[in-house]
Amino acid sequence: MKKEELIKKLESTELPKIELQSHRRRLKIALLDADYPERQREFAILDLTKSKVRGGIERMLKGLVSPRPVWKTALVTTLAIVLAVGLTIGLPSLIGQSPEALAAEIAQNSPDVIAALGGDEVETVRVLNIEDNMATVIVEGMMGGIVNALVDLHSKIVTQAVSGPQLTDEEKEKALDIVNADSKVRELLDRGAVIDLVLPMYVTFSRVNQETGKIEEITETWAQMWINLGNTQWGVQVDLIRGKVVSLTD
Amino acid sequence: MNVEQERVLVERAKDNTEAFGELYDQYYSQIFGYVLKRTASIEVAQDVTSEVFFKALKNLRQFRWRGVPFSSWLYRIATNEIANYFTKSKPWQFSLEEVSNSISSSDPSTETELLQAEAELRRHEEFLTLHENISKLQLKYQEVIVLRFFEDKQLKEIGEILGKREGTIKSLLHRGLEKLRKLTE
Repeated sequence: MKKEELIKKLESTELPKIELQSHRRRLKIALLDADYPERQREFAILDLTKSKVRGGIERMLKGLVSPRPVWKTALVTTLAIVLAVGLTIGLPSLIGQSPEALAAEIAQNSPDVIAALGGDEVETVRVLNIEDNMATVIVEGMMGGIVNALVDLHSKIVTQAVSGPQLTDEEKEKALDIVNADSKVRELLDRGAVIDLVLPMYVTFSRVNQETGKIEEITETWAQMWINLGNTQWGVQVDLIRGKVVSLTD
Repeated sequence: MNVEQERVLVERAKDNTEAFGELYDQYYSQIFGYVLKRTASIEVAQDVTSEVFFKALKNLRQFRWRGVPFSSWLYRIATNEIANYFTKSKPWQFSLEEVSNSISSSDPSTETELLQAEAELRRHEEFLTLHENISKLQLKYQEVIVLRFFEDKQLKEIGEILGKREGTIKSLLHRGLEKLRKLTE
């Protein structure tokens, strides 16, 4: 088939125009009922913060015109705050925030990531890779919680935040044994590559239950690791259950 | 709705339930249709569309108006969600028959509607054959081909949706069509 014929076919193919009124209705109800109260609470907290800041500034201004010699302290404090705010806001925009820094900032401030950490405080944020404006970021908590976040740098949102416990030492060992036994990974390691990080990954798939005929959703814990050689980094996905390397991509 | 009206509605929707409802009414069919054309599965289209609108609602306050239509933002979230679906579910291979078997609902009218939708989808054999070949391509080619030919988007708009330059879209489209042509031979 010629390219022109293919284009003609793509343009003329009758497309399904399907409307599911029941889904449309249910989703609208769920959307409008579910999130707004929570968001309103967020606004309330934000307003409270704003009023506290406003109160502080008002107190400082009062100090400046007060007959008591508090103006020196107030002036120094104001200048310090202005300088700190200026450095925080102005400097990155002057020098330009790197995509890595932006990804890390979005991930650690994301409500999804914070929720996925389940109360644990953020300790480290690592940007593993950025491709097509999508960054993979690992956020580690102080109590050992770990979240794998996908950050859309274009929309500046976290599109996925998956949390979970670390792999056990046995699982890590098993993952390392599997990759060491894989000929392609072995070749990289023999060339001097180093395994940087071993993390869990959750794979969700569906299969048909032969007895009931229904589709069931299955989630398995696999391992993922990063291998560095010079400036190149490879990502490896390891199926711990079937004991094999599923993919090796740079 | 013109661009200015949409901008005002989006701003209102940031803290007004009814305004978000209006945006939802405006774009639900478009997004559902896009996901359906990308996945050729009614069940997945429902799940992904739900996720798209929940994400949009959750992140609406972060949306900044830059003259790009709101629908492009929704399309972008949808494209990401579809990519997540494909990444998560590589071993997810089943036929439409299996999907229809899995549909269960306590509401008979909902079930009837789903079955009718399945039947309607299956009626579009030519589309399903095309989709089967398109789905064999890498995601970056699937995205541009579906947006261009099934959603009738211009290159500029596809660029806005995917966050890529118009020239990049053009070359992705060219290479994608070439690969699709070979598959259809």
